[in-house]
Amino acid sequence: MARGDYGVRDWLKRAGAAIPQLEAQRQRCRAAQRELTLLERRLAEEVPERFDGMLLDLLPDLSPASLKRAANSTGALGGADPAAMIEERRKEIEAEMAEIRSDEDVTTIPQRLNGFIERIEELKKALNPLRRFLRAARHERLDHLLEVGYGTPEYNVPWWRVSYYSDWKAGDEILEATAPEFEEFAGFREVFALRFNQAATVEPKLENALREQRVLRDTLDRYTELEQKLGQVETEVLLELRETLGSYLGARKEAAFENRMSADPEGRHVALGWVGANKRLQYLRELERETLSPFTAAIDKSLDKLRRKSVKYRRPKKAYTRFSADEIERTFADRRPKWEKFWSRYDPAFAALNDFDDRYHYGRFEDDFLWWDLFCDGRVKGRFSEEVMEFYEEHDDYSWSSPWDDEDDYEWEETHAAAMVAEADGHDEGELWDGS
Amino acid sequence: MSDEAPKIRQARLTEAEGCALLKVRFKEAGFAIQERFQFEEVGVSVELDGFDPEARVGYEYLTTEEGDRIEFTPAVVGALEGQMKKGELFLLMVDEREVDARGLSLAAERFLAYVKSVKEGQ
Repeated sequence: MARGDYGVRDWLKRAGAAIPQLEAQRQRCRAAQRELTLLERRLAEEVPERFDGMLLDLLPDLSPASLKRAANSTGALGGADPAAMIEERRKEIEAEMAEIRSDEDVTTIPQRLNGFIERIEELKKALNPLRRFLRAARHERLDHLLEVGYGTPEYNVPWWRVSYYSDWKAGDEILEATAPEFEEFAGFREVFALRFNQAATVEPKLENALREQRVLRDTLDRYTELEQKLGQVETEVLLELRETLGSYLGARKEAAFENRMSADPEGRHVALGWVGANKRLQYLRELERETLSPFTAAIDKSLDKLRRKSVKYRRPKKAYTRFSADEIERTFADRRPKWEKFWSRYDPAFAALNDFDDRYHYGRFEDDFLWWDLFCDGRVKGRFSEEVMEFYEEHDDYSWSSPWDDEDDYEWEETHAAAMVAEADGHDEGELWDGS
Repeated sequence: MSDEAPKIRQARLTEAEGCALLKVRFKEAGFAIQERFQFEEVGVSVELDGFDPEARVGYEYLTTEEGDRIEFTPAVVGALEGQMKKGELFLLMVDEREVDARGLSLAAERFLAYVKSVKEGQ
């Protein structure tokens, strides 16, 4: 058809029908995202919990049997010598304790600390009234008055000098502040000097006592800490070896267990739990990154574009715009089948991860095993995952067979299965709704 | 001996402010103060900031700014103090570095009370 077959009214009418469809898709995306996020959070918590449980199971104690088992199962800790580690730690701790004992009689420290408490109390009791008095007597002219001999026969400032009256005023203020102890400044002078000297004697004694008390307390605290550490050396070494094991497994993941766990069914069970949960979380994140997020972004983009154009074509200056039939068809072609095709892939893939009921022990460590197929029972192509696709490529003769016996063992929802029957062509997000 | 060095009279008065305050105080006490009085006795010739020649009572505000420290040399001050010691002259000598308004007012009050007691005893 030639350009000009359709007007703005036609365009807006078609847009009015298309926008609600896009809005519905957007809502569906949001709902799917919420569901995915919930599962992602759950698995993100579960993985480290399973990891800790696995380490505890692989290395419950420092017995030679436990160490041998951990080494055989994982390949880590082969050269670990916990007895030597314990001995070395003990020696270090005991050396520091001996050094402390050579400087201090540790057994008498609590008693000496009590003595310090009493001594400090006494010194404070003596110092506090002196400090109160000296504080009360504090005056900007006090030093000057003491210097010029105010209140003594040596004071010789004559009555016609203003400083005579300033001294008088300051003296009165000091007597008032320390009242009612003194009537004359002469009496104050004497007592002030006495108490000042007393405070100057007691203060350093108090400071020394406080410092010595602190040093003694720190020594006792350190010694007590060392005693406790000495009693916990085995536990510390165990935790350290578990940490080493954890770092090793964290770096190698399932590869660490490959061809190693056949003789240890219990350990295998626990390790499969961690590896499986890890895989499940990995696939979930890939599913989001490779499918849901770009699809959602494409829907959002199409909807925003269509809305913007709807506003534009409502302007008077655009009232006479004409559109060809091709343009209309390109812009408003029904994308719903493509969207449904997307959901028919996404929903079962997500359901496989969401509904998998933690039977990780059906997994295996061998390289001809695909975790994705365990999660979906081989019924969903894991196209979103590069790792899964590589696996298919590398294993031409691969086929999945369920490890469980019948439908009672693992119920696959019919809706998911039905949706999976149609293996549609790949979709192009850019064409979900181009809105042009 | 206290924690800080003494800060003597930080809020100082200017000579004009100090003299105005003193003039009021001295007049309240009944003295007929003449400002910038030329005092010439005992070989001394100086201008006093305020003086009642009849009662021989007055004040001198010593400031560096006004050049008082040049005029009131130790010899001049010594001569004036000689008369004051004998009870023949009553001059309140104010050092600008010494006082604030409250301190100067109290000093004037106590000085005038002293003068009154001496004069009543004469």
